[in-house]
Amino acid sequence: MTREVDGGLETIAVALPAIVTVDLRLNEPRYASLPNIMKARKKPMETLSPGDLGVDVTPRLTTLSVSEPPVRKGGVTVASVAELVSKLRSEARVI
Amino acid sequence: MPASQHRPGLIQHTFGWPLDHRTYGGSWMYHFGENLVSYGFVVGLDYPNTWLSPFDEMQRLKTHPAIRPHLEGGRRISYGARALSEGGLQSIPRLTFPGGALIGDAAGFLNVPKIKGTHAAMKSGMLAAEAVAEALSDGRPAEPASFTARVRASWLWQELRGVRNIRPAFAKYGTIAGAAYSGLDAMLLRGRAPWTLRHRHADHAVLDSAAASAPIDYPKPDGRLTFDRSSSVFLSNTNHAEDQPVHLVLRDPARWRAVNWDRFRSPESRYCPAGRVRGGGRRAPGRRWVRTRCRGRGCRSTRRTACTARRATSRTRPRTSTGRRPRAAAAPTTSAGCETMKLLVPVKRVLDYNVKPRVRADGSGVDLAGSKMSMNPFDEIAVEEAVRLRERGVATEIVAVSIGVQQCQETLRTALAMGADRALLVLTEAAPEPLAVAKLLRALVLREAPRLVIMGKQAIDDDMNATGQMLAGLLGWAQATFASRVEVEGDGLPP
Repeated sequence: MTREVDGGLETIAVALPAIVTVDLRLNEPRYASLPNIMKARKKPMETLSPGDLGVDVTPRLTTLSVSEPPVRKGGVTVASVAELVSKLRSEARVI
Repeated sequence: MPASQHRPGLIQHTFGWPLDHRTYGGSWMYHFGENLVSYGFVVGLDYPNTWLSPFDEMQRLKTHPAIRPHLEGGRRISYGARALSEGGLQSIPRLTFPGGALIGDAAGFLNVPKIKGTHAAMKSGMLAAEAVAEALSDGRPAEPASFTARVRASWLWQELRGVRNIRPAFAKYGTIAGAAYSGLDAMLLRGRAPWTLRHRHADHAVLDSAAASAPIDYPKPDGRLTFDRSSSVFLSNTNHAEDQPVHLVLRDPARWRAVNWDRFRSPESRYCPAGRVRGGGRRAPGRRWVRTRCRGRGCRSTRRTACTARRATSRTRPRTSTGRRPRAAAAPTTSAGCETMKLLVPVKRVLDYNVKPRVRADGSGVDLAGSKMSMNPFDEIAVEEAVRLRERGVATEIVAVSIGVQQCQETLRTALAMGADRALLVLTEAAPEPLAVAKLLRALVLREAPRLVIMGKQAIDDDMNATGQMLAGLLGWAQATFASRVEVEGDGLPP
């Protein structure tokens, strides 16, 4: 298997059975075709509860708060290059 | 909006102000869901004043005493713009062509006075399906030709016939007389008027020159009730490829200058609801005039924005451009030494990656009510890889698993439609934490005995990137994380 690491690729071999977690560039998922969507309705689906599997799913974490990232402010149109340069220098302080 | 201001089920429509009597348009407001309000504004593109800006008219209307109290104190969470086809029955084109048919809004089946077309889209879709079925069964599948006759014989045609004179009446008589005529047409004649009003001109033909139009002085947005365009477009969830080429190119820049600029002062810069269409420009050495453009990279942010020239917001992943990757040929034989190989693919239901998350006002989490949910994109890749392994003859069975609420069934159906063979749903009230998920998956692995578990490296909602690793740890199995290429050789043992 090839995995993405900082600045390159790493190829490793593992023995089965194994867990593989996949990254973005592995493939391009297909769209389900209409006939396959119809077929999927007939495929078996079994429903279980955590109790059936003998697993306790009580949360161990408490979420204290969730907040949104800061809102982006609208831009402004400048009249001239000189004004742009002066704004970059005095207001944005990037040059 | 604040709960104290919310009146569930309230519907309010307006027409008239801030538009003048020669301009068709109006607004809607619906109180719905959990303290949500939908507010929108429609303006006919046959407006005469070249200085008119639909976006700014919408902002201005919000300051009216009939609208302001509904929106004040609320928070803007989304913005979008669409083109409506209001031509009605008089403007419906030929409906079928070899290989296809026009249905819904593509055909122009909007009921204009009701501002409603979803029922027409459903009905015409059903009629098109019948026509397609008939064409296929008759052995002449080239064109679903009976669609037109089916539409004409349906209640949909009767309905559109009944309202055909409303929109042209507004164009002909103006707002007040148009409204009076509409009342007469709808209530007394019940749409059975023996005459049909025509559309006498194209929308652009009635635009007055800049000199003949009274300039409009729109108030500056206050950032609480009224807003500017660029921050609104930022909320539109419009999604385009970063390298999408400019799709509106002037064929004759001199003509743009003489007509659009000299006579009308570039109305496209005002009617574009995203403010992205800009005309004119400089002449760079050896280059042609900079074109009128409608471009995608409006703001430097993770969300790509663009004016959609047809104002259809794309909420789907833009991956159709190069077509679908052809399926790999299925090899009937399994690879040597591996008689059966079962794959387990866990999939998680998450907020669709195109939807901007909305944090609940009390900060207790993300509000998922009414939002589009989809399969975690990394899990989609895992399902795809599993299906490809079976198509290559490596895998023999694919079992999809999801853990969560009842609606995870839909996510599992997606996995089944992509090619998984069967599905397991573990019902829980909320999405459990990674360790609990890993423990549940461990129990399922012991029950199902797969040789390989393929899963997304992380879910895009909580970005924990933990479940796969924990599962490997609990099982004592090997783990290979962040795969960008997977090969299975021999019996799966290292060489």
